Amino acid sequence: MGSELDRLSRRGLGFWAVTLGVAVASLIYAGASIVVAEMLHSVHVEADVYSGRPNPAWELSEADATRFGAWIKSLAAVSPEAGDSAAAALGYRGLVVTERFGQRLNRLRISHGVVSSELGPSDVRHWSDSGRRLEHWLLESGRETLGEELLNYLMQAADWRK
Amino acid sequence: MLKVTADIFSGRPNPEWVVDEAQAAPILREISLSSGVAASLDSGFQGLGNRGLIVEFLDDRFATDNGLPNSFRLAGGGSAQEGLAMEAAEKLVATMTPEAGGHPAAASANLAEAGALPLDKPLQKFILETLPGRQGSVVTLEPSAAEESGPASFAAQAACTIEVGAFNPGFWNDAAHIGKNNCYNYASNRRTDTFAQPGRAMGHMYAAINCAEVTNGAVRDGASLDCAPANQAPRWYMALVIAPGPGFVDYHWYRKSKEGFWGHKPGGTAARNTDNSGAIIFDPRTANRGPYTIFCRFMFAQKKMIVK
Repeated sequence: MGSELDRLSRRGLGFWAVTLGVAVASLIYAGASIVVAEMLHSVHVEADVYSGRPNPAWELSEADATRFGAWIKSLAAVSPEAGDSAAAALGYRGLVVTERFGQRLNRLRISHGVVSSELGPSDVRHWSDSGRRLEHWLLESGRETLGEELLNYLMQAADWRK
Repeated sequence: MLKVTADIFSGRPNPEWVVDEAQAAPILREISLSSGVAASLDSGFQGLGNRGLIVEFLDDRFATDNGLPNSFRLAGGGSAQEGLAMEAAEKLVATMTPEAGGHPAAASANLAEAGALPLDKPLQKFILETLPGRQGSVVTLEPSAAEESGPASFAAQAACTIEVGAFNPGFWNDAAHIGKNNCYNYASNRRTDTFAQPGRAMGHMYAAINCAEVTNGAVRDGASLDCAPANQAPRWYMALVIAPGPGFVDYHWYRKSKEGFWGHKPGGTAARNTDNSGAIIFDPRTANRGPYTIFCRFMFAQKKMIVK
């Protein structure tokens, strides 16, 4: 009888040990996933230019994505009025950049020398893209996708816009 | 001898009359004095409604004497000197009625049988008022105008019956749909969420971006170049334009709204009724279209049209 109880007791302990082990492993795995997700940083750029055809779009290389992230952080904030310039309907309207950090997305519009980000329905922030340097650099990064002729058109159009 | 055709109708025969040499000579001399008044036959407005006058010499000597081509278009909106072209066109239209010496280009009995209209003053007035070369003239295609003006109206005979919906940008601009529908979706009034391309629904998309290819793509999808029958209602009135490059090559569409203006949706941006100058679009041919400098034509979406 005593040995039977011992055997059941040992079985119970084994069950709890296995359960605890699975739980710990799950937590470690979940933690690792969060770390990995946070590390994934990709930047998708779309030239908002066409009406009928799909817009040309491309991904930044890992190095350029890192540089883009640092560049965005260095921009000076500007007043909401700076983002009021309406782009012309037909023709080049600017760049739409989607920055992805794991599951988190950050969507930016770059035009008229201003970077705008909609953080919420009534919370749009603006930063200055002085001399449109960021816009030009991003356009240059898409040279292969855009081709020479369209790239030249977009570079010039970016400068024409007020 | 000179034959003048008012290129105005789509179904019934166009009004045509012959002008004798004595009457035509001073008008032709004015046309030949300034280069660019006589325009090529394929120039100017080529849509539905008044497309200007077609002038044809019926005798090769007469053409040579004036240094003009054997046939040309006048006051159709394609002349380099549209003001002078309008003046000459008015003088030619003045010769149209029998009282002014004009006579039909074919036997009257045959013309009446074919549905041609008599060369009278009301027709003369209508031709003059709707010439594309006349500043501010527009082609009327509102269905109410066509229906209310009755079968005897020239406007009704020159136009097609179409349907028009109230301008409703909210249908296109909500967050779930705005980025997934383009100008072709808007113009054909089909919100497919597929950023539709002309011809793709039929498995044969345009092969290049020019008027002919994009038009053909839309026709393959079921659009019509001519008036569509009543059983194809709703028949939306669309206009196609092209950005020819260099560098920037694309197409764009507009659709006429009930209010009389035209709406459009530039790519994944908001549907609107204004052009690149912020002006309300009453005529896509003259609107500020940015790089979309070529006006191709008007077309009709019809019931059987499918876009994808």
